[in-house]
Amino acid sequence: MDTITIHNTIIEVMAAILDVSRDQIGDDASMDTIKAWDSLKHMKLVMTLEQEFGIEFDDQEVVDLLSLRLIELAVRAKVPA
Amino acid sequence: MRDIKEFAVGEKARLSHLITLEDTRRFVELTGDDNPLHVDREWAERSAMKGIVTHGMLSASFLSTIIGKNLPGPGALWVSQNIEFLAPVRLNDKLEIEAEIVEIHVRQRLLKLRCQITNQRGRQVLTGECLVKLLAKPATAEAAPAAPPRGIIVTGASRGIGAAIARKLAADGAAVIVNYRRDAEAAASVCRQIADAGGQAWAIRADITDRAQVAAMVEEAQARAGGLYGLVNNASEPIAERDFAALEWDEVMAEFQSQVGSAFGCIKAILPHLQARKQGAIVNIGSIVADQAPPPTWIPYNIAKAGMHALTRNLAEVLGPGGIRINTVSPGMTDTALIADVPEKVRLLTQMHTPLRRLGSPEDVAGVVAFLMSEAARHVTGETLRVNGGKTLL
Repeated sequence: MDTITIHNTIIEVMAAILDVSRDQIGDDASMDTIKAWDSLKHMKLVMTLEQEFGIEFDDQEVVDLLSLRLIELAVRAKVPA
Repeated sequence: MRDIKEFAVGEKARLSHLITLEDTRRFVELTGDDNPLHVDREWAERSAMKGIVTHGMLSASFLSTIIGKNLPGPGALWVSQNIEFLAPVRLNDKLEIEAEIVEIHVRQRLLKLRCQITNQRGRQVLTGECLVKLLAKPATAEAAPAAPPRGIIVTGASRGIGAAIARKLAADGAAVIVNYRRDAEAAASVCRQIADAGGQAWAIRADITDRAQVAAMVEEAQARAGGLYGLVNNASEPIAERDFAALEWDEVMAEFQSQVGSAFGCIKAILPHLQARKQGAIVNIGSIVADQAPPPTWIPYNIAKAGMHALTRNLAEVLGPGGIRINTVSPGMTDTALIADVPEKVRLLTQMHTPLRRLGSPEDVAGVVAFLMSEAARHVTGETLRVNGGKTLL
């Protein structure tokens, strides 16, 4: 999967789970910038990303998924190009 | 305030005062002593004293005046007094109050004074002796010398944090020595930037692990800057990642020599110049790895940086009495070539785990170094100032 598709898919999942428009998810999007991104939504986001990409995150990786860029790095590391 | 050593036995002070009815009235108002002997003319005239006698302590109070204002004057603490009242003082008597130094105890800062008061007929009305302590002068910050030397050496100043420190110190008025080892063009570029901004800087090549080269650099720096005030031990090699299993002790020692050994040698070399003027400031660039769980593959670097922190603390006490300050500036992860090999994920996570949510910049570090070099930090030594956006809080 190419990086643009990964990026767009993550944005769609984030918009749906966090209940924000795609426009509100900028490159610097993180738990700091999106108020709705609380711990419950975070777990739902992780599960949806795992289903969407057919991957699994370990406990430490789940804790580290703190921003859009970190999610992209983590997904790209697990999804074949 | 005079110093205790400025006084001499036999030194005298005098003052005069005319005792009036108003003096008596105010003394009664102050003390509440309205004994009719002092205030009731008819009563006093019928007494054995045949008239009003003014309060003895009213006369004696002028001893306080002469001690506080004349001998020894401001800063005097009246410790003890014996008094003998020899004759009554009447209204409208003109008193001559005199104090004379009879003993001086320099170590205790004490003066023994003989006191006497005579009236207008030359008759002694009061005699006594007192001890007066001369208090030490209130502590005040010593005035800074008019024009301290401006030369500051910054090691490893051709790039990254060192270059930012050089630019900032020059902008603050220092004459900066841009030390470099390999990249002459980069060092020259830093000097040009400083000159373009109206500052003064010279690039001097020296391998700071080499004692002779350091000595030559310091001498050249002294000559060019016209006097040295400070040193920033900043130089650091790129961090080599090594697993402990593959690590050799020689590699640890090489890094230790490169950082702590070099800082040690540079301090030794510049010290005579700073000690000669009894002023100067040194900043060691440490690292957050000395505070927090250090990266496990950076062992030589971590040990060396811990050594830099220890060097500061050890030397603060040694150099302080000579007027020389030494402090550590401890950056967190800073956006320079030094972290070029740090994975993006680690950098992003560091940002997210930092209260100020970003990596440090070389200018962030430079600002704090400049503060420690400045007069504003004149009473700061042995400190570690962390520049990491609050990372060590978490």
